[in-house]
Amino acid sequence: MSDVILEVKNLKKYFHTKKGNVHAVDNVSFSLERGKTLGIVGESGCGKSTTGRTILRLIEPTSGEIHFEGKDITRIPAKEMTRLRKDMQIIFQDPFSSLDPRMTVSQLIAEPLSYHKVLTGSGRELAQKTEELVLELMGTVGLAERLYNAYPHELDGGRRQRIGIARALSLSPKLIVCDEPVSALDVSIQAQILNLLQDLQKERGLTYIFITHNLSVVNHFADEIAVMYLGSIVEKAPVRELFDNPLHPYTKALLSAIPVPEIHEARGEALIQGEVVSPINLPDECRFCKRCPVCSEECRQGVPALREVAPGHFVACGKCS
Amino acid sequence: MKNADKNRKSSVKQNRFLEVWKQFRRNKGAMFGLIVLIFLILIALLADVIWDYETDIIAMQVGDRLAKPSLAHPFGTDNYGRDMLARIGYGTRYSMLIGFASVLMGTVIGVPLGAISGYVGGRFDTVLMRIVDTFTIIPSLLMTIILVSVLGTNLLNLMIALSISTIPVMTRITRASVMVTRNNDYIESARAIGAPTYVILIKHVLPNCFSPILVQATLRVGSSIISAAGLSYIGLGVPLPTPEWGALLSASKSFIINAQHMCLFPGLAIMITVMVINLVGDGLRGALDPKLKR
Repeated sequence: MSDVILEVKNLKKYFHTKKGNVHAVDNVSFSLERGKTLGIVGESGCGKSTTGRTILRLIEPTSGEIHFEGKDITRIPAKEMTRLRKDMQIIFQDPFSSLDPRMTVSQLIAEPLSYHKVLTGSGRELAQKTEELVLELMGTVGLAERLYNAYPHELDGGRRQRIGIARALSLSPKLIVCDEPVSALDVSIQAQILNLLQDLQKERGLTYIFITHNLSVVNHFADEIAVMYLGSIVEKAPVRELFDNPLHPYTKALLSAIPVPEIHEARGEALIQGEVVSPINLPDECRFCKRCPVCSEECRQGVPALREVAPGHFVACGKCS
Repeated sequence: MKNADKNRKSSVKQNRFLEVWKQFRRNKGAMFGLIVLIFLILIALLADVIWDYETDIIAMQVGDRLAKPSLAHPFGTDNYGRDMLARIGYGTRYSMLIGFASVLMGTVIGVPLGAISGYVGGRFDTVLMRIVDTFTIIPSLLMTIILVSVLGTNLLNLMIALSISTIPVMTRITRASVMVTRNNDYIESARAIGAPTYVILIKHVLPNCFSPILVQATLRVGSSIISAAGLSYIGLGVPLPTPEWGALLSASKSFIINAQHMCLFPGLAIMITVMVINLVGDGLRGALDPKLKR
C-alpha cells in the first residue's frame, strides 16, 4: 500500500444562484501520494481553484469526502479544521491582493506562527525566536534581510509571491495547494518561483496540488496531471503518458494549444470551437458534447464516468479507449 | 551582520507611531489643522483658568452693550455687554465636548455593529439593517430634536441624542467597507493560515476599513457641532446663559442689523473648528494608509 496523503471522493460543490445551481466542482475524485505533485489543468472557470479551496475547506463542499492522512475532514468542526490548517497550506494566485497591505514582510511571515503557537516562550524570548525563524524563512525563500520591515506594495510580484510561500512554509505543512502561483508573474520570474517550489519539495518532502492553466508549467513539475472541464476531471494520467498519449479530445486540444517556439513549425489545427457552456443546470450528457469534434448520439446518454484505459491513465469519454 | 541587525532593530522601533507622524507632517494642510486644533483644545481645557465664569462670562455690563470690536473687546460685546471673545473662547469647551464625545459614543457602538453585520451577514445583518433603515429615514436633525424633547434639554442629553443619530451612519459605512474588504484574497489567506474569525475581523478587516470610517467620523464631528449649534439656536440645546456657540448665534439674531460682530465671530468659530477637524482627519487618513506613502 502506497503512502496516500490525500484522498478525494466524489467531491461536489454547487453554488446556488438565482438562475440555478452552478456546478463548480462535480464529482471530482483522486488520491495523492506523499511527496508527489498533482497538476490540475483546465481553462478559466472550470473549477480548478474551487477544487483546491474546497479541499482546504476554505469553501464548504456540497457533498463528497476529503480524507487527509486517512482522516475524514469533510465534516469536522471548524475548530479542529483550524488546527489542521497547520498541515495544509495554500499559495495564492495573486501576490498583490493576497497580502494584507497594512502588514510588513516580517509581520506577514510571523502571523501564522502566532495562531498555531509554533514557538513557545515569554515576551522577549518569544519575540527573539520569532525573529530568528522569520529571518530563516526569508532566507529559505530568497528574500533579502533588508526587506524585513518593507511593506508588500514596495516589492515586485516575484518577491511578494516569495512572501506568500514563506507564509505557507512557516507552519511546516505537509500539503500545499498552489493555486496558479506563477500566472500573475512575468516569465523570467515564473521560472525562479517554480525552481524555488521544486527545491522546497525536495528538501521538505512536500506534497503539492498544482493548479494552473498552463500545461507547459506542469510538464516539468507534476508527477500526475488531472485535466478538468466544467467541474469534472475528464482525463487523469502520469505526466509523460498524458503528453505522449492524450486520449480525451479536450486534452488533445489543450496540448495543441501550447505555443511552440519555432516559426516554421507546423501547428496543430484548433481542435475545438465555441465556448464553454454555462455550468448552470447542466443536461445529463457528456459535458464536452457541445464542442467535441467526435461527439455522437451515444455521448448524449448520460455523463461518462472515469475509466482506467491503461495503468494509471483514466479518461471520461465514451469514444476513447 | 551585526550592523544589519542594528539597522533593522532601530527601524522596528520607529515603525508604528513615527512612521505615521512622518507621513502626517508632510501634509501642510493637515499640520495647519492640527496646530489650530491643538490651540482650540488648549483653550477648551484652560477656559476656567483664562476666564472666570462668574465675572467674565455671565456678568452683565449694560453700559458696554453691543460695543463694536475694539482693543478692549476684540470680538465686541453682546446685548448684555459681555465680552464676545471670552464667551466664544469659553464656548469652545462645549462645542468640542459635544462634537467629539457624541461621535466617539456613536463610533464605539456603530462600528462593531456594522463590522459584525457586514462580516457575518445572514439574519443578524438583515434585522440590524432594517433597524438602521428606520433610523436613517428620519432626518438626523429631526431625530435629535425628538430625542432631546423626550430626554429633556441639557448637555448630556444633547450628546446622547447626537450620538444616537451618529450610530446608523457609522454602522452603514462600516458595514459597506467591511463587505468590500472581506472579499479580498488576504482575508481568505488569513483563514487559510488558521486565524480565528474575530482575529481576522479585528486585525485584517477593520484596519483596512479605517479610512472611510475615520473620514466619516471627522465629518460627523463637524456636523455634530453644527447640529448642536442648530439645536441651541432653536432653544433645544444647551440652556442659556451657557455660552455654547449655537446659543451665541441664536442670541445674535435680533441684533443682526446693528451688531453683525455678534453673529460673525461665533459663526467663524464653528466654521474654523469644523474645517480644522476635517483637515486633520484627511491628513490622518493619508498617513495611516501605507499605500499612499510617497
